[in-house]
Amino acid sequence: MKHSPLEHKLAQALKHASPDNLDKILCRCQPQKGIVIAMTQPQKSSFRPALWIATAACFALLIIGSGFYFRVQNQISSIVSLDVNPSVQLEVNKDSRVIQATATNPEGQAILAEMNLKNTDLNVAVNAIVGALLRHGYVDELANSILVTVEDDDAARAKQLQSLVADQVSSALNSAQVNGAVISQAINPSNNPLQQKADQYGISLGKASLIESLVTNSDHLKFEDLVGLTVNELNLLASEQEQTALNPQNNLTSNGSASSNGYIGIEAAQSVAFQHAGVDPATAVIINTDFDYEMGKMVYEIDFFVNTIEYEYDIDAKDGSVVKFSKEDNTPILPATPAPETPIVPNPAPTTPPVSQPSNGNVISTEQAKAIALQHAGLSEQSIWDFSIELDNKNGRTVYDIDFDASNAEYDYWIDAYSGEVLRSHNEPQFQQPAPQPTQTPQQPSGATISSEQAKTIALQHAGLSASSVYDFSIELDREHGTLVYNVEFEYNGMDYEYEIDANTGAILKIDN
Amino acid sequence: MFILFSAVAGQQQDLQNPEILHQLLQQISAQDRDALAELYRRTRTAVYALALSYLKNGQDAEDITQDTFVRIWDNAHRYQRQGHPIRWILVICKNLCLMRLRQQFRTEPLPSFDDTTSLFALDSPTLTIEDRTLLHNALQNLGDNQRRILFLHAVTGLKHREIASLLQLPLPTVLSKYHRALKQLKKLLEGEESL
Repeated sequence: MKHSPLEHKLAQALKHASPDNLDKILCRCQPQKGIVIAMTQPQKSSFRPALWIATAACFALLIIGSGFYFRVQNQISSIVSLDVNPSVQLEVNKDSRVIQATATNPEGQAILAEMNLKNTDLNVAVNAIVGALLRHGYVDELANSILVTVEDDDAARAKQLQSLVADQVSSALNSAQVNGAVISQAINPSNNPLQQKADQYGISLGKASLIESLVTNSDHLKFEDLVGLTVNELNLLASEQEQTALNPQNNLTSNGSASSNGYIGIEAAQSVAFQHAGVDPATAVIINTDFDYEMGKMVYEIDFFVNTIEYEYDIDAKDGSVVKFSKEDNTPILPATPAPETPIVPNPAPTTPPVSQPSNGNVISTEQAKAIALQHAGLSEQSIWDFSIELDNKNGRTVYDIDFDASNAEYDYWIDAYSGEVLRSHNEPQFQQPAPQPTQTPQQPSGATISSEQAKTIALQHAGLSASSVYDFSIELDREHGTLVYNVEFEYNGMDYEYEIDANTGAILKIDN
Repeated sequence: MFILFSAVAGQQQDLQNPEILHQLLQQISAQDRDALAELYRRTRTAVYALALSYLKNGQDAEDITQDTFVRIWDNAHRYQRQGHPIRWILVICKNLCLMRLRQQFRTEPLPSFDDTTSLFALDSPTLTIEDRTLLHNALQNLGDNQRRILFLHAVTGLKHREIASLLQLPLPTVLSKYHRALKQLKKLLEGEESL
């Protein structure tokens, strides 16, 4: 491909300008199912020893590793909470023994009623609780998410606890052959604003913290909307929000993936959308599929394109009904005014030039625009050649981009497509060569003695190739170094051929392959 | 880092060897993250350039570039070869750009006709002054399609016909805009120098 020095410089500039964000991208690209790489962020602030209770949704239990800490037996060093639906809280001492177990909601009470966890080892306690959760059906294939929250003043210990308990829960679930999803976090107990909110809504601090991070990273989710959701649903939303895991303010670690088995599934949702839109699924290019919470329900958001038409669908995740949809033609020339529908074509074909099909009826005609430009230049139609006109978008304004040559200069106009105002006029006097004859023939560019067909033949002959054997053939009349030439390009057998042929004599001026 | 002009073009074509890109996309659909990294290495400039040509803002272009590769990761299993593999990649990028433009159009007032260059937010540390001048001129003074065609031609290895198909413009339009864009840019730069 021929590149002028200017184009080389442009390529270099673009190369320098493009940033290298591979790490961020890889972070966002996780294997689809199965293990999610944890994204723990180190605790920065210090924690005060505190007794924190209130975990509404069920989250996993954190278990203190044994033998790490030696302190007075009854002194509480950490609080470990589990939220699923039942909410349970364990006050744990440095020996990883449970000093006290409390439930913060009735479901949690039912769980704890079956056992006496005082003075038991944290691991044992966690196992017991998870077992009870499974038995009571709070965790199953349809809703498999558990939230583990640790509150501790010691950052390192909190983190250790967090991962130990998360692992413990995961393995407990695995042995019960449930594909669990464990979210774990370590939070600062003195985080007052959230505690207030948690109390206000009657949920645990851990759940409040999770909701808070979802709300922060969303442009439409509100705190009060989410308090009623289960941890599983929150987990689904969290995994859609890629930023949630990346936000350094969060200390969320996630293992496994939230169960969406209670929902119809992405494939089914897509089918619904395609069917509703009346499009052939094979022609649809899917831009985005998301889980989201809209209008009071969990939905699949599906965005896809067919040719130039973009569709957006919200499909109810439970029953597959269409909650919301929109359809828009986005031919790039004009700003996004709703356009008349264009028929759906299986193979993307180049659209006719916008000049002949302006979507907005208020645009002036090409004839009018041409007249304006000629008048401004003080020229008659007979005295110009190489006229081109295109509808284009400059800085948000729709304009006609008009170019033509005359005996003394090359002209370039931008005419506002609605008002006809001359936005820009530019002409460059031509000094190099006497201008070609201003006679304008439709087929043959003025001044050129040989036709483009002839030029094509000359080039192919020189290359020893037939027209049918080459790919990507292109030919353009241009002016190089003051001479009218044809630039002929084609590809054969992986090689690029480029010819410059004098448009008057047919002589080959330049060859490049 | 000094790069020979001709080496950039040659490098770029080799970098975007269609067979290799095709292979990488297959591997990505099998969840090979190394393949994704390699694809990124080879095609990020092309994607960024297209995004920049649409959004005229370095920060936005950077965001869209990232989003594009994430979409590639999520959708690689849908990839089917139709011409140069980079086309599939650039279609995704283009669609994300159009969505972003539509959002912006709805929520932000139209930019004034004389945009200041600070809007472009090009702040990569490897940009030279010459690079900046060139890009500012391209972003501010070329028509939208001229700019897109020119950027595509400069860094993606696509031919005019493929560019026409990607942007859904007729081939003659692409050809003439391409040449005019180059001419215009040249004039602008010469104008700058003589100031």
